[in-house]
Amino acid sequence: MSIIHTHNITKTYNPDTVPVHAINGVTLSFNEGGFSAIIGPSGCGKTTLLNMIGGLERPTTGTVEVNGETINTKSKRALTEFRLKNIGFIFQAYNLIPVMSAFENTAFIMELLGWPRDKIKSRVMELLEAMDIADKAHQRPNQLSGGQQQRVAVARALSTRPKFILADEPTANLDSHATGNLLDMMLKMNEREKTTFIFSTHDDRVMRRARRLIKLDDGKVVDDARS
Amino acid sequence: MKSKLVLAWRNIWRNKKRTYITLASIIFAVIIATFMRGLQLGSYDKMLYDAIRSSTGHIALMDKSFWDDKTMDNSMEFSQDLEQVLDQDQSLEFWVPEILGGCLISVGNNTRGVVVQGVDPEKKDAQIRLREKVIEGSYFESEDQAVMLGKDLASFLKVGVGDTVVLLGQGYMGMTAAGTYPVKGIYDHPMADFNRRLVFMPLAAAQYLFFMEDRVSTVNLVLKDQGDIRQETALYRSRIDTTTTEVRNWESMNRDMLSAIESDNFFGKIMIGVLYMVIGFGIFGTILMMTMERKREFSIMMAIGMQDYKLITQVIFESVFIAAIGAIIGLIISFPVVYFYSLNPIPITGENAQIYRDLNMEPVLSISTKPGYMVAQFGIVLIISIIASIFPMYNIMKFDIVNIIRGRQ
Ligand SMILES: Nc1ncnc2c1ncn2[C@@H]1O[C@H](COP(=O)(O)OP(=O)(O)OP(=O)(O)O)[C@@H](O)[C@H]1O
Ligand SMILES: [Mg+2]
Repeated sequence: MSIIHTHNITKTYNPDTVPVHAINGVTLSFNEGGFSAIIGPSGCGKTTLLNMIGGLERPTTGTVEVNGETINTKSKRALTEFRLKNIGFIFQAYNLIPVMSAFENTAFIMELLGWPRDKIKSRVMELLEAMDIADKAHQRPNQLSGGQQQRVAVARALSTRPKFILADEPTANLDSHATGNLLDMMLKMNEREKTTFIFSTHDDRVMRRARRLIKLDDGKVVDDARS
Repeated sequence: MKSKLVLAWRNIWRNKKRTYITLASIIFAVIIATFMRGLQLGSYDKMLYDAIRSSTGHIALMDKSFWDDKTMDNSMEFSQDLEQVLDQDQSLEFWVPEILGGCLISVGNNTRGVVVQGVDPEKKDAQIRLREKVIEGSYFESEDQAVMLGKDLASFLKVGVGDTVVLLGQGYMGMTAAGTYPVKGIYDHPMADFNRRLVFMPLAAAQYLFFMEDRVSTVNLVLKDQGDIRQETALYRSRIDTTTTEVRNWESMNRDMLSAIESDNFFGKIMIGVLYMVIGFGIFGTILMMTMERKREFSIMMAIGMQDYKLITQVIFESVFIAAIGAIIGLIISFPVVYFYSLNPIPITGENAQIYRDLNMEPVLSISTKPGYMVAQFGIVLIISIIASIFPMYNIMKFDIVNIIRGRQ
């Protein structure tokens, strides 16, 4: 069943000065439980597209629907609320809050949602174990490797079982071992918790593991292949 | 709440050096402000306390015309009945009936205008501890027909104990008051006017000199507890003939001093205000840097679903937290010192002491320990820290989180 639709969305930056047409009419649907990658050369609009799907940016024209709800007309506050309750985000790097331990970073969203303490605790430990970093629970981000930091970010994104996870080049700063590791974890959670993953990547190793590859060029979908 | 505190604590110490500098400036400001205010309020209290105790009392009974025209004719009857009420009044620390009369005092060719105070020697001693200030001769007694002079006046007249002085003035109903009196004692009072222009004489002798019989100029009442003023005023209103006599309170008798205090206090507050403004900019700079350098993590927090107002609350919390730590340390340092000097007023020496004496003030620096103004410093610092976070808060609301996360800002 499809949970995300974009209808002919465009995004133009600086429309009044030097317009940059980052996205030029993209219509896409994503199904529940998918593991999809958006690929394409640098500057083709991958980040812009992910941001619009995730309610971080508004399309210039067109609509984004999530669970049948149009999100691009929501207020700033409502969008924040929407992101909190529906989406897990993983960014390229520096995802974590430096003064918080791995445990506290993983607990962050659950705390914003006011989950009870013991429920948070067991969920955090479950996730950190699944991500194979339970022994690092009380370390701060600067005491973790880049790969470990990204695994904490994945744990945080997964914590409240959101409808889907958006990851913008989550492996860009990782070596191949850490990349393989992180992908294993994400695939495991995709299977185990049926979480939908959509990510952007340049990375061949990531592309090979994705079940759907959406290729963008110049803000347009030029290929959409499922395996 | 607890986790908020812990987080604020961790964030504050992310940049230790900056936090130390900010704290030091707050601590410094609180200490300076506490001393400045303490000395200022202490000097006001001391001035009023001295004025009330040594002259006006908390309340005074007098003829309705006396305050504006201090003559014998505007004196009041001092009845036995009133004296009895005063004697039995448990709310009074002491009370002093007085005759005040302008006179010329002369010895040989030396003449000077003075104020003659006819008083009960024991009551006067309770009031201004005159007995211990006697430096020559002995303290006067109520039956004496003699006077006490200040040391400056005595040396001007070139008289010593046992010498006779002539007093000439106007008595009740325009009668000529004249008499000769031996000098019984010479005192040295810290206030200049006492030494130069005052002559003490027992009340009965003064009543005789000025043809006052059972009349006095004023009766000054000092209360044990200033809070009783209302009820005491009411009590004495019911005991006197209010058609001719009035009960005045200390505020109406010290108007000039109060307005001088008020304007001095105003400037004092401005000084403190300037001090705190400087500190406020320091706090502002710290808070602004604390938000700007955490732009990225704030943006991530908002991207994953934290509402900006929650973030703002956290920032205010951190700002107030630093301020509170600084203010508390500042007060902890200044309190014992202030307390010590309140118990041991700092004596002023040398030329400055003379300036104080000339202004009829005791040459000491007293410092107030009223908790109110210390708590006020704490409150002021907290308010400043909140004001200093307004712009950083506004900044957070305007963050372009997408571009910050993309690394474009
Ligand atoms: N705020 C902005 N203002 C102007 N132009 C922008 C802005 N953000 C992005 N762009 C432009 O939009 C286009 C798409 O950018 P986007 O970041 O989506 O590309 P991308 O595919 O994610 O690239 P990369 O692989 O390098 O991350 C680029 O040309 C970029 O320069
Ligand atoms: Mg990108």
